[in-house]
Amino acid sequence: MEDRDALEEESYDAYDGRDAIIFLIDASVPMFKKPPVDDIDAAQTENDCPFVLAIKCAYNTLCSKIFTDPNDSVAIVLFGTKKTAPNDKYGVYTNTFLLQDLQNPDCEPITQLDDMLNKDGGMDEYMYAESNPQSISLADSLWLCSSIFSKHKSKTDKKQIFLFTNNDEPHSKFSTKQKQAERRIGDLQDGGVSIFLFPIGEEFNTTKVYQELLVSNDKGGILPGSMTTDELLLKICRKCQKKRTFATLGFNLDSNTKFGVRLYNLIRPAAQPKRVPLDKRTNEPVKSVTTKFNAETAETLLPSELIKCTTVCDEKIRLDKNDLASLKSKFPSGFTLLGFIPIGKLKLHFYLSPASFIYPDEDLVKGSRMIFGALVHRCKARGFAPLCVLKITAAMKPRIVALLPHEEHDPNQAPLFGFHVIILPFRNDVRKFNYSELVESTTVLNDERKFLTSKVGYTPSDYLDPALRTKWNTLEGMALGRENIESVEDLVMPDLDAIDDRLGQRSTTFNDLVFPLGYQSPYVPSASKAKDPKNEAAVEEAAKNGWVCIVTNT
Amino acid sequence: MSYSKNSNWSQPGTSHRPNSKAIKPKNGYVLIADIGSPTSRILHRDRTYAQQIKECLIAFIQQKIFINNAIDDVAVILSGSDKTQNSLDYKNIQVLKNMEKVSWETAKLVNETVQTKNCEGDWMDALGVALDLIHRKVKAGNVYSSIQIIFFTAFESPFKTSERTQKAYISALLAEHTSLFIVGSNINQEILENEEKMSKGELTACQLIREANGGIYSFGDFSADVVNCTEQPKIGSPFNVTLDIGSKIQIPISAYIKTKKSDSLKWSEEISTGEALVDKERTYQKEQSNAIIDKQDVLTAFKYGSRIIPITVEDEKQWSYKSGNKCLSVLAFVDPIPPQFGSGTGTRFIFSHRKSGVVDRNSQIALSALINAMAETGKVALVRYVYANNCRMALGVLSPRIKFKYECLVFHELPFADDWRQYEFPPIITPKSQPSHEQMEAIDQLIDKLDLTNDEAFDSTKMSDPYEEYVRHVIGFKVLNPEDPLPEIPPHIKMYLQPSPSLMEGAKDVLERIRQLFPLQTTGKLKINDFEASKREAIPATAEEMEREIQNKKSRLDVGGDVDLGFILGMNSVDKVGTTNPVKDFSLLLQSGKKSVEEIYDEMSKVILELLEDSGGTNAPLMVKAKNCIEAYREHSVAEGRVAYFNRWMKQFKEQVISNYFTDFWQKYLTESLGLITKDECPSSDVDKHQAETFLRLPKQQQVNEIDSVDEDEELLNLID
Repeated sequence: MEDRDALEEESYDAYDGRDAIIFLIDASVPMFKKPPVDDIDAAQTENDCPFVLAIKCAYNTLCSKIFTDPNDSVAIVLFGTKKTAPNDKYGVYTNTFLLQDLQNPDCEPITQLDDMLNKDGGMDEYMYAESNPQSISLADSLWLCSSIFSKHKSKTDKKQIFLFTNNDEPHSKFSTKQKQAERRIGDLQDGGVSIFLFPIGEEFNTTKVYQELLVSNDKGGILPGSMTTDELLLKICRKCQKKRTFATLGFNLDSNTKFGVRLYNLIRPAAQPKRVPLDKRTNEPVKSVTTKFNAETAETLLPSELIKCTTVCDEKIRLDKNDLASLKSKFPSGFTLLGFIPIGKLKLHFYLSPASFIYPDEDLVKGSRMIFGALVHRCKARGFAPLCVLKITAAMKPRIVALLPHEEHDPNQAPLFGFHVIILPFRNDVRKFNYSELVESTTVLNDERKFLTSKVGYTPSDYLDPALRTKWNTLEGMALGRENIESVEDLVMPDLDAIDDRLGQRSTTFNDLVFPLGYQSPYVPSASKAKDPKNEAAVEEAAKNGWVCIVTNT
Repeated sequence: MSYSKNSNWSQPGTSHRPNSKAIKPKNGYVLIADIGSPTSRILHRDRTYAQQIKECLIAFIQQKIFINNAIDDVAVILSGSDKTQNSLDYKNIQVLKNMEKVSWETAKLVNETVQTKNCEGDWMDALGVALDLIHRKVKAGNVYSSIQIIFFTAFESPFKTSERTQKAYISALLAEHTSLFIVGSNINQEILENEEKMSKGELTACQLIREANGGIYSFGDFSADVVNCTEQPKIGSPFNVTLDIGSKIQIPISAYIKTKKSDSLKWSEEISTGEALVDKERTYQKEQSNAIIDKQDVLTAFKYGSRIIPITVEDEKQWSYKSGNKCLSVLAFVDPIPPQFGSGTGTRFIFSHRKSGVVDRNSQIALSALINAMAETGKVALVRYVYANNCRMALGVLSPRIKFKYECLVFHELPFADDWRQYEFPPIITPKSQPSHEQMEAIDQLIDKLDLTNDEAFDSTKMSDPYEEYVRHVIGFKVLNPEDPLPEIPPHIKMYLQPSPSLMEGAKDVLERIRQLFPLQTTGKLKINDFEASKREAIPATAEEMEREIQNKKSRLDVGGDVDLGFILGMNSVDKVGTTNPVKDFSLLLQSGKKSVEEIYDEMSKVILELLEDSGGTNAPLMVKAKNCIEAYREHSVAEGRVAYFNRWMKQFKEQVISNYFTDFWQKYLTESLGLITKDECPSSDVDKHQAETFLRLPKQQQVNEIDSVDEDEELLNLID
């Protein structure tokens, strides 16, 4: 059993530079039935038929992939259609329609889907769903998928099929068609293709057919039934994220016992759309080349002619580049266990940089899973965190880290089992404060504490980055020649009215209590345009801290 | 000696100077080293007392160079020197370095000068010189926030003192707020308690310290104190803003950076041959032709699929997101956020507004109310954070922190949806796969044995960053020993990165049990990984792996070197098989088709002989080279079916081997399979297996180790039969 689990993990973990995804969308009659309108509120927001939902998913995937993973490929195949488009490349498949061939995300496919979704009657062309369910063959559409993958140029891509349907029984259990589908799925999975089923509708009964079709295999799986676009999108978004291992490392319990782990960075700033330099006159892309030359003689220099130097107390110290680099590599890489510390004793309020996550790696050391699993489990149960020395890559310094055990059981969350790697600061990373200068003894205000109103908990997915999204939206609008570019809703903007409402009279009472009449705030906001030296200093500090201003040259 | 007690000495920050920012408080140190003849005695590890002093002095000076912006003043006085050099003209007292801003020069001087001299110095004299030095400096207007005299001596040389002198010294020490430290004496706790055991010198020194100020250190304690060359940064300038809750409540606050990754030393590039600076220039070139394009004609663009969207800076400014004025505004109060959701570059502590050192009372009351309310309800605040007008906007969290001495809000950033990856990590412990009861128990025992609850040693906030320490160690070493190779990591730094030996010793049995209970088998994958991600992979932990890694690197380097060289030197234009890289030449020539195959074969056979002759039958690398040549030659012959040519040469070659006494080479390298080409290998051959076997055997009288070889041969034959 353990072997199979390991295998499953393998398929999740295989390194993937690029993805090739086929959206396999059921276009038979039931997919065009609008959901029953029980709830008036729900009806207003979500009144799309399942087919439209699926197309929306494909559309959104393309729109974000064009920025995040422009080298991925996406195809859209409809099945259960009456229309069959003969195709020179792949041949003819009954009741199957190739809406978009496998290709990198680009303007045309996005416009096509945009038109389908937003133009009046855009969907009509595809509404000719096959009315006779008996003639539909899942196997045929899967066959087309496998032809698409086999003709795909890039063989190393991670191949996936996302199957969207609300029909939980396309063929009866022991029919010939079911057997054929089973065989096709087997072939696809043997060829390294993962198949994920996105069942639409709460009623979807996976036990009828699909469980047997998909679960009995290592690759792919069934996602819990969903109804709204948001739910579906979230799931696709999760599936599309590339599980990139940042490093594979040894974990040393002591010099004799060592297991393997993979390290992932779950929180890192999202990549900004890439800039390319362009020749203004011809709009041709150009490359930028940095050359180094001798400041005195203006001779161009080769890398071998350079040396690193630093000045300490008026003395210049020169080190060979390789020597300087070798200083870091003198520290061994991987995790070295120092001991265990109760989580409560950790100074977690001293946050330094984003955490990482580790999960065992059987490829490095066989048997890692079991010891890792036992460690996580016992640490979690007893509230202990392993304290380790960690050096991740040759270019990184050794650090002291605390490992926070995590066992996630919430079915609505992505499963998460392992250790969070929290970097702890060294003495030189912590500023020394003289608290007596910062705090005066105060008279504590006794009442008026109840004005705090609480909302739900925080999860990052609630807050899209408005700056990044604005950029995406604008570029998309420009590329597709849209006239109106939708502005992005800023979710990180306090709803002043709502807060004021909630506080009501209490804010006035609070102010009266702490700020006497005629109180002048010592803080005077500086006007944005004024050449305020204080403001400039602040900008400089911001730049020092690596916080790049969006606007320059004010 | 008279000391005017003017009040130049002042507390930092309360300086009478108008601009307190310009003057940083510096410290003054006078180091006195006894290098008289008694210091030649050996302490431990073959080091003399004087050498030990020297190490301490250098470590001390180095530390002062790296910390406090190197503004501290350091003087060095030698007692028992063969030179007399001081303003009071005391004999055998040498002021090696006057009290000046610390510099590498001082360290170099100490490095060169400090060694046992065949003289003896009066330590009271030396102390007098030090006090005089300090007095002069202070009189000249130098302001020190503290002055220390650090005296390295064991009081083994004779000295003179009187009650009057001692009194004068004490008042001098007190006058300039100078502390006196004795390092490396025989005084320890036991002796301190029993004054009768003290030598006269020790007793006098103790009296001085008691009356004035100071302490007694052993060499070890002293080293431990001065070994760290990094310091804890001081409080920076705050981010001032109002903390807004809705539109009505605005609390003026100051946010100070509490944690942030410390800056490493900056390294710039220079030309290896001279001191000239390096300039950088960025040019833009056409993709294909490399033609340079004027900077003004270059525009930035974004790619959207295959479409390119050119955008001017002004345009981008127009449509990009506007974060608005700088702010810290509450969005909602929520449950505490798990630590793994931290983002950004560090932590800020938020206190009430403070302007020119004065805390605003009203805002403190307001902030305090908020902090306490949050703590009581167990909530934290989500905030919108903009550092400066229209700068990057971030989502952040404020958590209450209440300590005995202070209370504040702790701020750090949080990730947006786009910054968070929700990878799936399926549970490992499932009903199907579960560790045994014993396995779980062993892990529990490990946790108990390695429990650091009461161990302060591994509190990272009390540790210096080991890498930064090491870099400074290397720099100090390089300044004093410019020609030597880089030093290894010194033990006091390594110590930070290793589990405590006593703890590990205690856990030995449990670790052994774990090793038995959890079968772990290292695969060869690590190596492959190294190769694929050579840039990302650091060196492995164990010595054995390190070795392998080095080997790996070497071979990689070799391969790479070959290719590069070949490319640069235009190896494609090889016109002859040479002895440097014969196999490569051979194959290149065959590929190029410039010469007939026979010609190339002949060249190769000549090279083989040449190599053998050069080897003299003993040089292994050359013999291996020759063997590789034969291999290549033979391989090509088999592939091309040029059997007769090769076999004819082989027979000739054997004769040459025998006549030149290269029999060692033959036996070592060829007897396996590098003889005549057989029928099995190539149908056009007329040699069968048996013939080939016999051919490989050398005539008996020529064999060096007859019996062994015969045995081997027979074994071979047996195998074949």
